[in-house]
Amino acid sequence: MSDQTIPNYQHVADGGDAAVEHGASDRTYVMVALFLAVMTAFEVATSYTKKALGPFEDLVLLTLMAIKFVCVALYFMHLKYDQALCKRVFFFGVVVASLVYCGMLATFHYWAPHFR
Amino acid sequence: MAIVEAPRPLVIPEPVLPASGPMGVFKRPTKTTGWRSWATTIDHKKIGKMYGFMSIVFFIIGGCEALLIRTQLATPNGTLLSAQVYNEMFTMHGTTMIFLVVMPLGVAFMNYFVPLQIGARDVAFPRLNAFGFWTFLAGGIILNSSWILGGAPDNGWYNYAPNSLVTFAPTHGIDFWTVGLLTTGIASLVTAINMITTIINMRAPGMTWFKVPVFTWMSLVGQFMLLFAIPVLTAAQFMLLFDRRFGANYFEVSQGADPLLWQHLFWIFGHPEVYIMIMPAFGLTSDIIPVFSRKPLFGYKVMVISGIAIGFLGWGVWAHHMFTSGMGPVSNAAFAVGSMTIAIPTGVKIFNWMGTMWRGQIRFTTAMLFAVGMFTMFMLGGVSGITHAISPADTQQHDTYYVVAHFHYVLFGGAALVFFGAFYYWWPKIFGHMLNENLGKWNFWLMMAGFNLTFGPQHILGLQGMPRRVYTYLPGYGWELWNMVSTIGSYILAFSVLIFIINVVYSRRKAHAAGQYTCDPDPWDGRTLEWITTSPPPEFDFWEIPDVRDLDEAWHRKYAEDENGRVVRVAKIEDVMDKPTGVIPHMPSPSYWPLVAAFGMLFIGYGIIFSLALCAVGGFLLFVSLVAWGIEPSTEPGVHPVEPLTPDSGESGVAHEIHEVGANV
Amino acid sequence: MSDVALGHDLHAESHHDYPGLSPDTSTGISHSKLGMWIFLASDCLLFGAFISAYLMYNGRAQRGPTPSDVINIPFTSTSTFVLLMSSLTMVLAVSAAHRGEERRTRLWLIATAILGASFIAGQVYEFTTMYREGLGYTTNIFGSSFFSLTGFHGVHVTVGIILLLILVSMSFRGRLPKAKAEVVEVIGLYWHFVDVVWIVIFTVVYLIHK
Repeated sequence: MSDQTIPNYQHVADGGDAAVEHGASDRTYVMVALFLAVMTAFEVATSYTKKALGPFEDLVLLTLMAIKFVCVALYFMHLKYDQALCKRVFFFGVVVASLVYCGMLATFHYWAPHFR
Repeated sequence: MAIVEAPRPLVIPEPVLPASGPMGVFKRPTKTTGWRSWATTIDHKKIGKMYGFMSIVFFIIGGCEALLIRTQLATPNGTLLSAQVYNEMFTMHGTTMIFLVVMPLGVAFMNYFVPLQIGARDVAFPRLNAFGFWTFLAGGIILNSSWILGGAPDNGWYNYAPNSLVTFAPTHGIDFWTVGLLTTGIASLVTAINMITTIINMRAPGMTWFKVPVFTWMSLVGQFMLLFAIPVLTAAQFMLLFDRRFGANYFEVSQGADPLLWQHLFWIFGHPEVYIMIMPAFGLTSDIIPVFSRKPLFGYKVMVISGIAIGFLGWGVWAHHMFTSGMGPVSNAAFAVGSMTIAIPTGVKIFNWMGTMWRGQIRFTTAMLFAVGMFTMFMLGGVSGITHAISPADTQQHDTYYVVAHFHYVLFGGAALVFFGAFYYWWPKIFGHMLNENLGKWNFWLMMAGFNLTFGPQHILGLQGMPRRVYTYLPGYGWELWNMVSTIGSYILAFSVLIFIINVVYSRRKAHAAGQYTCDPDPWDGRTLEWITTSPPPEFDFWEIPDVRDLDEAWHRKYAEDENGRVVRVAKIEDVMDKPTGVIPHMPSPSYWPLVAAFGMLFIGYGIIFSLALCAVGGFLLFVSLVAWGIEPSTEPGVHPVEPLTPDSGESGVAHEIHEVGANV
Repeated sequence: MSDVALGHDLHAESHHDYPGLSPDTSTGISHSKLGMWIFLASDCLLFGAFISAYLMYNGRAQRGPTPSDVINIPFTSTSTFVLLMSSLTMVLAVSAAHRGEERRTRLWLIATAILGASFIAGQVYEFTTMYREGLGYTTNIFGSSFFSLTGFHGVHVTVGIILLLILVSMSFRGRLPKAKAEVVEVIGLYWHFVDVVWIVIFTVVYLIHK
């Protein structure tokens, strides 16, 4: 008992097994990168449609952006393979930032300028 | 900073000092006493003490500024301060008290006690911790040096733009404010990262989330809020700095800018900031009251969850500082409702503190008096806070002394009172001797009297229409009496702080004259893990990392239920406390680089204000120290500065433990 | 308490036997990695402030060029692609580092730094072109908010390049063995974060509000 100076944290670790596997194969990464490149191409193409999509253009662009964001976070930043805590901490920051700044812009009637 | 090295296995044949230090520039510091040990320390306890000391120094500076303000306002047509100096005085008073006193005092207690309460030997990033302290000090120096370097900031602690642009504030004062707070902001950010990582990652075995002491919990919530609030202020300050120094147009109304941008960004930071300041105080109150009521905290889980709820809700209420800015009825209504909901979890806390005291065996020690004083005064401040949340009523109260009274009741009555209580509560643990209880009671009652005399009348003054931030007033408005009372109160308050300082000096002299350098590890019959180690704790905190089985682990080691279900004492603290094992844990070595890096920050700060050439010097210092920091190992092989505290453990054949504490940052 | 003896080994060999799992922390995530994630979460709010300030002031410029006058989508699309590919090389470096292939790690790190530097070069070119077209930092509210936002991003990329170069020099001196693969991973996190921020900036600032 007296020589137990090293804490054994195993019994408080949540979901320890999940993290043993370390990321995907290089092939997966290349595929993800190709997918991201294609998405970017779509985005640029959408922005050149000269408003053919009308008000949906922004929506399409924002959706593509969100897909790219999540892809990089999940695959390149290993969030898919790491423990859930990392994901929670990071997306908590993303969500707080989005809500707070969207709220701020809302007080300026940014989202509905004709109510100004 | 991000140059991280994973802990590596160390082979330590015998303690030999290395011939030369890392980089061959400095020898790795090894002293455990003297100024050098303080300058290079990465021990969380020493850093905590330095935070505490500097906070008290800044508290005295900010307090003197407050006394000057009150003396000026004691009578109509005061002539002590000019209008300009008065503006500088209240700006510096607010900025100092918030950024250089209440925040770092909370950090001081966190630094010292979070690792002890979670059963860790240090924080996660010991060198980053030192860097945080020195950077905070650099920021404080930059801010306060404005008095002698061309004028202090004069625009209020919120520093509304465009009133803070060069056109309206031509001196360097605002630049000192911006740069000083950017610097302390960096310190806050690294400290927040450090504390959060420590609490999440370094809990002792068995300490699951609902066995974490409330002070540590509230520190975690507060540091999370700080983590997300500080970058908003940083962004706003960069915009202001770019406007003032490089001609950007963020707040230039003639260029189409909107002055409300600053207000929004500032209060998105500023409202979470008030919870950042009060969260450690909530935690302290929740730790002190159960100990002196000899009962477990009533509704521990509810207490934790309400703290987390405040942490979330605190993000949706910032615009209640802006009800009169013309945001429109929808925004005002939304933020009014948000502000009122925050009263619910706060009210829960107050009821739980009362529930803890209910039928407890209450001992009114000084610490307990301060804790009870805290939540009664905080409740008064909370009630006036609710009246601000009602936005039409706030239109009347806005910018009057009523607001001043409100936030002093929550910040002084809430945070500062219990910080004094925490000094009395934890002093024996930190310094190995108690503070005098008689003087302590004088301290408490005079502080209560002075505080209520100072800020109580300001409610009336505010409702009578006396505006904030006026440097004087004419006779005949009916403000003379209450202003005089308030000023008298402020001197009583100052006198009570003087008693505290006298108490510190007196108790220390008395203890040291009697040769007392350590004391009872558990003088209050405490409940949390800091009480199972010696007073003061060894450098490595615990010989053995405790195995935690219960919430209030220390108490459960001492007490158990007998066969009749009554709680009886089953062990003395000496039997259940942490005991020397003879194996000295290997601690990270002290380092010069955090201090050098902070010097770099100081140069960069002055460089931004005065000359970009200084920035280059500072940038060079910073870069070199960060690289050297990254290269030097966390623990210098062979250096073993830990002195065995008990004589029998220092004998030959002592095995050197290879356990490194903290990551290599 | 039977696993006491294991304690030493677990710690000393942690990165060897249990990749990505630090047995000496409560959560199994190492301090450096958790610390980096916490920092990145915080950085979201810094960029959020600059992005929302840009959005708020969009279209309010009283004089001088507007976004559609100066923004060059084909050029910026190319540099966006470059930054995206630097994320791929970074993740390949991390993966090689975890396999202990030091030479390949070094090559991918150098590739990442070069791609990052190309992005910065592109940004310098973009800024100078805009300046020639009459958009200075002080010209109007669009110039200030645009240059501050993209400049802050550029500073982040530059810091990332410096960190990568330090890693490369560490690797040349044999200071990046397999046991230290996590250093590469943590700096990789920072690099990818800079990339996701650019994903947002590119869409919101360049494509939607051009």
